Amino acid sequence: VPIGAFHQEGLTTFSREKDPMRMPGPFMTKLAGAFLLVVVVLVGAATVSLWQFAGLAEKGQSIARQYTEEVVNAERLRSAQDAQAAAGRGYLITRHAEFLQRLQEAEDAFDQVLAALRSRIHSEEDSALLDAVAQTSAEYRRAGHRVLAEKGGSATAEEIPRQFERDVVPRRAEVTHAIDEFVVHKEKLLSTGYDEQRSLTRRAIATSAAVLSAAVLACAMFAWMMSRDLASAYRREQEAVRSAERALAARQELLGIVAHDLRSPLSAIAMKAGLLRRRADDENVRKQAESIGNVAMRMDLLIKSLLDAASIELGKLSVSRAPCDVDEVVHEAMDTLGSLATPKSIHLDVRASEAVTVVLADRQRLLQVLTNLVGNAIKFALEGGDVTIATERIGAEIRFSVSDTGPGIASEDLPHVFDRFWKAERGGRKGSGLGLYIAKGIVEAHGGRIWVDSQLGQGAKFYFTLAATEERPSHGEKPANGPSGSHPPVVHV
Amino acid sequence: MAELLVVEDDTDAGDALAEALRFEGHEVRLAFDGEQGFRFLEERRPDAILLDVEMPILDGPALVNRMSRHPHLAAVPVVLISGSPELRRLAERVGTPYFLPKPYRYEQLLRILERVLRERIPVCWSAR
Repeated sequence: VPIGAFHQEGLTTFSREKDPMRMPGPFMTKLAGAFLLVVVVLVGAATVSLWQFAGLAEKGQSIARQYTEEVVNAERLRSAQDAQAAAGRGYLITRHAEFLQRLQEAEDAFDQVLAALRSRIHSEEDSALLDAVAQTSAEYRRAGHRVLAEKGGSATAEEIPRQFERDVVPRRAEVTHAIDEFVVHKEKLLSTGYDEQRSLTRRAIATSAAVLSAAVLACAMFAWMMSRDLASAYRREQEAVRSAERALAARQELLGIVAHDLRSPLSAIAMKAGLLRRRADDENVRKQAESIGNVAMRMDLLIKSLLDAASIELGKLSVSRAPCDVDEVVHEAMDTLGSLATPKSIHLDVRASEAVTVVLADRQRLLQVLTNLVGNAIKFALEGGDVTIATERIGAEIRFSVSDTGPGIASEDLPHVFDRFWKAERGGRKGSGLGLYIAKGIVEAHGGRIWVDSQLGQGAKFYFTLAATEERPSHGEKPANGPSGSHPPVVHV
Repeated sequence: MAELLVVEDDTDAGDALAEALRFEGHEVRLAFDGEQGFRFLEERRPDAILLDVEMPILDGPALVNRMSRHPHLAAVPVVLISGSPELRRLAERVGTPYFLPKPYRYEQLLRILERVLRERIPVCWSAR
């Protein structure tokens, strides 16, 4: 079974693709670029619109001011004309020199306004109308002055009003008519100015609306493109996760089938080896048969490890926690592993602090962790060395430690010792590289921590913690019940 | 000496188990699927059944289910045998306190057999 191949394909991909924060680089650049573009387009469109409206307001204001001023000036002409008539008439009636003075002032005012209006000529019509006003006004003035001169001269009292009626009144009507036409013309210009302003406003609104719509459309397009990209990235991500999960599940299923199919022939081997051992008269044959049985059980332990590792990977390792007597479990692990220590003359030692009593754990799983750690320690301890299990209560936890006097672990290897299938290049005996990975999985499934302290040449010390409890262990949990609960076979995994 | 029925589809595993039991002095009949096992059961009621879980035609739990509908067969103790990590739970569901995870050692087999023949707790189908 190409378990290694599964590992390569399924899991590394899974852990790489699983991280949603790690988007592909070009995509992030594209996203940032699009975002920047959207901001620039919107800001540009808003600026163009604002600028347009500001210009428009200013222009409108100046048009209104100019034309209004001209209309006011045109009206001033009328009042200056009226003032001239009133002053002339006043002099004719009273002969006070004061009226002559007023007449002069009114004429000056008229001329000033006329000059101001002449400086603001927009068209020939404008000019012609103003010329008409100036001309009729000059004629009127001449006629008026003639009457006034008569008044100071020899003319009779009857003659003057007649002359006035004949020469001045028609001239005045002409001036008034010319001024009226001029005012009407200027008012028309003012209203045209307003119309112009209105049409400018309408055009500005249309332009702004077009610019803003284009900007919004562009943004919407970018948003759509980006969301499409994002959606496809998300789909790819989801697909990767799903396929990784499928691969994991498929591997788990395959492992289950393989485990089951391997276990029946293993059973047959173990049974026949047991039978052979019982039947044999020859001690050598009995030993060989026993060895065959052990090998079969070792193969099963490897299967168990692979199943455990797969469960840990899927986060499906089940632990049923119950109060366990720490001393008892530790001694059970020591008893089980004693046979491994003897050939290397390794001294197994247990140090328990007084306070340690009961831990909340799955007894079989705790035993598995201890046998994995102690088995490793024995494997790596030098001949005649020591392996020590110590337990200590620290707060609400119990800390287990397993130390050996082996060659220790290089600092660059320390971060990898709990990795799956990891094996230090320390030579020596075979193992699957799953033991520490499983120990870590079990401890973490209990909510505990596991770590290692080591220096090259100084041996290694593995620690793990489990929650302590004040409850008493129930002895029903002891393995006497099922045959399944017998000591785990001593095997390096 | 007891009369035992082994129901196991793996011929090697079944043979090895039957041979070991015979060597221990028991009378053993060997069936290779649940259907055949049930026929043997109907012919003669054994003292205990050693029953594999995964089998073609009629698997272990299905055989126990069928037994439960025959009052005279329901009282036979069953040792459930499987390589599945779920064996303990499966045994609980089938309603037997006896189970033997594959692969098992000769001594494990002797221990469980001794217990079954001493206690003789019948299988009690309670699967939901």
